[in-house]
Amino acid sequence: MNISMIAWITLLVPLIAAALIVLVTRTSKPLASGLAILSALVAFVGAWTLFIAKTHGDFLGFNWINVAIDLDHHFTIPLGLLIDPLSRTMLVIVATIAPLVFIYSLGYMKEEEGYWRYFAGLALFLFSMLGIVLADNLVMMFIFWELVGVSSYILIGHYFRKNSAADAAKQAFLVNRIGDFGFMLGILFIWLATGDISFASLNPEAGALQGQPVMLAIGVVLIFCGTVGKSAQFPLHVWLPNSMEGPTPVSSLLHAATMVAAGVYLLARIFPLLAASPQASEIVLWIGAITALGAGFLAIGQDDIKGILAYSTISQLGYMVAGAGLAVSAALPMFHLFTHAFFKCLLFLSAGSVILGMHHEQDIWKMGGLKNKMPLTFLAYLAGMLALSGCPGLSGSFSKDLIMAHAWADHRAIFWVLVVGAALTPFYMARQASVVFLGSPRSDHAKHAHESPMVMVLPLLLLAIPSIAAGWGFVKNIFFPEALGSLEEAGHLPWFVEWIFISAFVVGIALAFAIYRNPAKDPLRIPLLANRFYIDAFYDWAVATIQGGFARLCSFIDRWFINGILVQGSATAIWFLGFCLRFLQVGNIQAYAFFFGAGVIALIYVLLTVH
Amino acid sequence: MNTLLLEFSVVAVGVLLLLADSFVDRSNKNFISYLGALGLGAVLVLSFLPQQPLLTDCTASLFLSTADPLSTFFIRFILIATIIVVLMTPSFVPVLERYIPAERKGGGIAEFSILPIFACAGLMWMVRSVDFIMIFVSLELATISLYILVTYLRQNQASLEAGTKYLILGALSTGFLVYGITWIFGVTGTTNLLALPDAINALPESAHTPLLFGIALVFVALSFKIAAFPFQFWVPDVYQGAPTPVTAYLSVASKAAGFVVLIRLIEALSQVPFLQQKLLVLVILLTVMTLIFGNFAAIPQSNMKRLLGYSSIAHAGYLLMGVASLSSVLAIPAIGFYFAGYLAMTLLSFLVLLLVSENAGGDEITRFNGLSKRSPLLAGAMLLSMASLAGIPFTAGFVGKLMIFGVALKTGHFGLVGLGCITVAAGFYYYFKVVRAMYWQQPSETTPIPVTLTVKLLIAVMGAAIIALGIYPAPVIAALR
Amino acid sequence: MSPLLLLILLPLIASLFIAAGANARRTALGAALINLLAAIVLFFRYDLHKGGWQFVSQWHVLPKLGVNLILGADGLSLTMLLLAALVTFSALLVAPKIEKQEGLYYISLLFISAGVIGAFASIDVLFLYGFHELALIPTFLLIGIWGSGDRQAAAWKATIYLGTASFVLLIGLVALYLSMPPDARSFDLRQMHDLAANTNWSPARWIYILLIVGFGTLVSLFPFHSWAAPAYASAPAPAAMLHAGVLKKFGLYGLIRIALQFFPKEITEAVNPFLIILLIGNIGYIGYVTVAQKRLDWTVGYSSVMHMGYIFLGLAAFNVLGVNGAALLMFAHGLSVAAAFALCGEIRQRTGTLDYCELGGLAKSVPVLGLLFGFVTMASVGLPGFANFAGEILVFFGAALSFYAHGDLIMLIAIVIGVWGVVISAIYMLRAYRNIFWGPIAARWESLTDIAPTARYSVILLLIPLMIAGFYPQFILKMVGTVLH
Repeated sequence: MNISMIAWITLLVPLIAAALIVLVTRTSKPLASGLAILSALVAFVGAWTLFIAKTHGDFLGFNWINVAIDLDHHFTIPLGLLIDPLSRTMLVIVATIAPLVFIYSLGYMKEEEGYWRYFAGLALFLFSMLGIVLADNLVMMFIFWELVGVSSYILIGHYFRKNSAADAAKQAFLVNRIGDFGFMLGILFIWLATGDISFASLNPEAGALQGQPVMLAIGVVLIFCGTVGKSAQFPLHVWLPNSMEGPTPVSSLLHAATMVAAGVYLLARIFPLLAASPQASEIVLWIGAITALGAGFLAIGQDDIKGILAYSTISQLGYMVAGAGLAVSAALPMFHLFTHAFFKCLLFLSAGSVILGMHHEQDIWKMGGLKNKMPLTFLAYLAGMLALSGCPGLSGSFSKDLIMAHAWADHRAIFWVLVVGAALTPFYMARQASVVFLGSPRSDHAKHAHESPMVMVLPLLLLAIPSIAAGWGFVKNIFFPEALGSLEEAGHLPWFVEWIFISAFVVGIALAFAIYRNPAKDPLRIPLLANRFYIDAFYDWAVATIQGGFARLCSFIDRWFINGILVQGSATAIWFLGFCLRFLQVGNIQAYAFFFGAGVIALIYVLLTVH
Repeated sequence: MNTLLLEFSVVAVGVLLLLADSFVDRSNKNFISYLGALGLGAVLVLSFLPQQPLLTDCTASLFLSTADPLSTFFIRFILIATIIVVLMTPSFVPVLERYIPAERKGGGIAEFSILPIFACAGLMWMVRSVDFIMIFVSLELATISLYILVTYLRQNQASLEAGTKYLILGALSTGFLVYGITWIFGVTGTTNLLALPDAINALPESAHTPLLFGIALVFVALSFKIAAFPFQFWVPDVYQGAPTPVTAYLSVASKAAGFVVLIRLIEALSQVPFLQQKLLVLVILLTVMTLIFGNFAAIPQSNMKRLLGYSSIAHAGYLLMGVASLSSVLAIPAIGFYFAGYLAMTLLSFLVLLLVSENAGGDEITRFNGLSKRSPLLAGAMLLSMASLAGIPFTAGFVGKLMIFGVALKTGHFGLVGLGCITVAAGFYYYFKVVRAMYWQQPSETTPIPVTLTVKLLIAVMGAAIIALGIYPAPVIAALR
Repeated sequence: MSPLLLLILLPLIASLFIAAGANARRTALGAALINLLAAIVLFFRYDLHKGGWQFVSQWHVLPKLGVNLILGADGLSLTMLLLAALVTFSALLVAPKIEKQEGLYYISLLFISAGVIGAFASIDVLFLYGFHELALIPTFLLIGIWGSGDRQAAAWKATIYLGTASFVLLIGLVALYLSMPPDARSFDLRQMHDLAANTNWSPARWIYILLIVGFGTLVSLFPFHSWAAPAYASAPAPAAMLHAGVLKKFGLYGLIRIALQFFPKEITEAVNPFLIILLIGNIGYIGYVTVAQKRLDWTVGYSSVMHMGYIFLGLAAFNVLGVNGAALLMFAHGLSVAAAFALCGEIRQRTGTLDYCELGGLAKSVPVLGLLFGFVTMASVGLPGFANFAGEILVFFGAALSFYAHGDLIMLIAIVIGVWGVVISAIYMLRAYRNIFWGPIAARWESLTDIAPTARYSVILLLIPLMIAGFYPQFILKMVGTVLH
């Protein structure tokens, strides 16, 4: 069985599974989940085979669109799979986490309705995500980009009878669409400029981009819009926290580990262009940094256990985007994506386990002292939390510090922004940890919480391992070969930079434990943060007032001007003319005779005068 | 055979029928009309035999008449129209019996189906005359029998009123005709249309004014006949008051004859350089006014007969558009074809109107409410004729409009065509009002309307004609090229 | 016996039988099914290598004037015929039980079907036009008798509006005919083609404008769209399906066949900016009008007006990509909008209302209906996997290419607004789905019966080709491509 065959199977099996679940196994829970998990395992095996085989190559499937422009020119949009170090690493991340989450869902969703819908959605998502990873050209990536969007729509809206869930799903889809608006324009732009859409031949020197920095920047920034949407960067970040309405496994797989990282993956894909355009990378850099810092602050203001993790995700994605914006190497953001995927997934799954133990209570101020009730969960959580906080020696620290180190080398201002963010991370994580697990229970649920079933805990423990080790040298060397881009330290850093990182971690975590030692309620409640900087409120207002108003205006014009005056008006005018003409028809013979005579005179006059 | 033989044989049929009437038993009057239809049918067959003019050198003769395609076509046209109208009369008998006092049972009914035959003879004559005198005489022959027919329901107020109006205005127009003819004769010394152009060309400049005066007066009379604005005012009232078959006859046969004379006159006069422009302007003016009045004034109508009256004015407008484009070779085929379709769709709609109004006791459009439920056949027939009148493809009406507008465009009357688009829109409005009544509204009573075999036959024939002409117009057009 | 003639006559014959008293529904469905199979067979029997017009047969009508009944089909017409047959069958299938005048109902539907099939199968422009008009009166009757809401006003407006527009169009066609050299005048598309190719025949600009306006009005090109939304909103589902799905495509078909082909470059380029402005009106302006709608039927009605904008964008691009995209989009939109109207009708039957404020949470009581509507929603927001996406993206590429070639700013604006339109349609379609099927369910909707098998199959019948063409657009593209060679 050759490589391309394996690649295609890896990609298509989840789709087939999704189709089968919808068409055939809607009635049987075990079949539905079984199919989904089976497909995930197939993908897992396939991904690792491809990874180990270490083949490069672009495996064309078929020309999805092939239009003859003239006799010898064809416009084609191929569907092909690009297997290179980048896609192989990403493939492994996705295909490794997915089965764990799928299995975990068995336990988490046992009692839920819409079981088949859920697993069909998961399978469809896996297919779309793999598609993004393997796509060998921009349009194909856009296709799967959209499919990821819709599968996320389905999964967020799983509890569609809750208004909040329904709205969150809609918002997620629409916000992503706004990002895709730029993405699509970017694709068209790049295509016009370079005459090509395949990643293999992306080249800042090609065609009209040759010596046109502004053009190049426009193109890159337009495509970056896609990232902003999918990776929930400011100002399109609002959908991600709301998407926590979905089942927790979904949050962990889609909205923490893989899907939201697709934006970063996209940046890594177009890295040649990005790196070649200082203006563009500057913009990317700042967007990333602002997001990293802002989201870090917002995470402090949240009370929902998943909400905190959601903002922390946004913040970490900010680091990745900033890492890409540093334009050092594609590996830089990917490395953080890699480590982050594991511990963030782990955190969400343990949060899910907590939520289940708490009978679907998500407010951390109703929890407390859970470390005794659910020890395994607590251990797993601890690993993830420390890794995220950048505890030296754990995976998170390596990747995050590397980004900041490069920031120090290339861009001092950004460096400080990121460092503050890095201090916030341990702070809000420690806050969560101490409020949820330490101290004393704050509610009956907390008192009677219980450890989750093995099928859920096992994935946690499995994930704990990479969360700790994913950053270590040998792992790094396996998953980030030179070909993907260098992960060298940025030149020679002064000795104290390393200490800045460590102190940021220590300060953050210490402060948090100091402030949040078993308080009954949030000791520092900052409305600005709790209300998410009022950005969501502003958007709601804008949509309701500006967009709604504009729509109503258009509708009014259509109804009363175009339809009312132009159409009905002319009809009425003609009717009225007829109505008036009727009065000539008086009915008495004298009048007719008079008209007759008038006509005679008119006729004579015309005949005599016209020449 | 001889040209005028046809007309004479039609008169003969009429006379024979008058005699026959006094012998057949009174119980079954329809016999007469069937007989008449039969006779006219025979004449129609005769008309397909080869013909030649009565006298070869005929510029002198009063009996001058031609057998050109135009006349042959319209002679058959008038014969067919008359046959259909005569066949319509039996369905009208109940109304007749209601409105004419019968001292003896069934008295004065046969005449109702015989008089059209005399009118027919007159119109045929008129169609083929190329001499003012002949035109005048034949026109009188036709009109006088029509006067009688319009007032036929002498107990009926409306009928009498209509008759009076028709008589007075008709007489007025005839007066103008004679007067105009005399002026033309006085100036040119001829009443012969064929000789007229040379005679005029020979005239001195000074004689032009009196000549134009005469021509104008003749035009007045013809405009009255074809109901062009501003000589159309009689139409709605007369159409509404007159017995329905007579209305139908007026709107089809006599209008056609009028148009033929108009065409002949214009064709003759257009050979005179200094007249062409004048005539063109005159005709275009008539067209514009007629189109606007006919179509727009029809919009608010609520009475079916009046509506059809206005619609006949509207169609006169479209036909005038064709007359205005006579410089195109296709103009006469277009006009002829338009008339062919017009015959089928108008007579069909009048036939349905006749039955419905008789059954529902009135001519208002509301009487048609829910007809589709009471009698799908009649509704379908009416739908078809309305579609054709409005000009929906695959009906005769569409092809007619297509050709008329085609020749108008070809001749460059873009203004007329533009106006035509608006009037066509108006047409959609008032024709679909009938369709709406028949199909959307609920019927007041649900009793089905009885339909005799003859009527079914007529509907079938005319409906088939509408569609056939709409899909395969070639024969009719070929007959006139 | 030409297969195409059979395709046209079958519905008419069937309606004769119905008029004669045969079982309306069975007869109609039988005829439609045979037509569908025939259309599929023809679609695959078309010889792509040979290309051009095939299955041609001719009957003389007015040979001297160059008017003949010529039937024939190339890839584009066969695609449209397939669309027509599919939508017809599914429309008849989804038709509910009719109490009053069932016969007339089915006869009207069959007439519309025969009309569009005839239009797409005619090579002679006059018949192409005439067949399309066959639908005028049936639509008038269908909306007026079996419609809902303010049906009579809607039927009036649509009929008179379209009747007038078609007449303007007719004038344009006749003018085009007269603009040919007298000896070579013909309504035969093939001869017109040769004429345009071999002689210096160049029709005047006003004729082009007349055609754009005439055809455009039939496609509800802004600002000639006022008839569309109300008519679709109040038409019975099958009528709306046929009209919005198939009949509306006739205008675009005509534009591709006639307006795009026979006019000199300078005229088309001179008029194009105005066309682009109008289509921007369709996408941007009508898009937001759609957002403001509060009822599903109006939303779908307006959305079908808006989506025409993309197709016009493809045509205005004046290049192979754009026109191919437009043609693919015609096919895709025909299917998706038909499915949307079918489901509209299903919902209305159950709830008696399509008002967003009154509905909600239906996915619980009618899950299958919800699932199907979800598919339709995703199709009409242009999700990959449905042909709509392929069409739209191809249109965008075509427009981008033409912008690249001419560098006219207005085209750039059109592209940006066009791509933004994809966001707009997501806004209103997702809102519709969310408000009708998601959220808490009102007590009175708890016990609705789910969609009936017949209706379900009729929608699936529309969705399957939509997705086939979405996964493998070449299936349509290689057919429609033939029109331009």
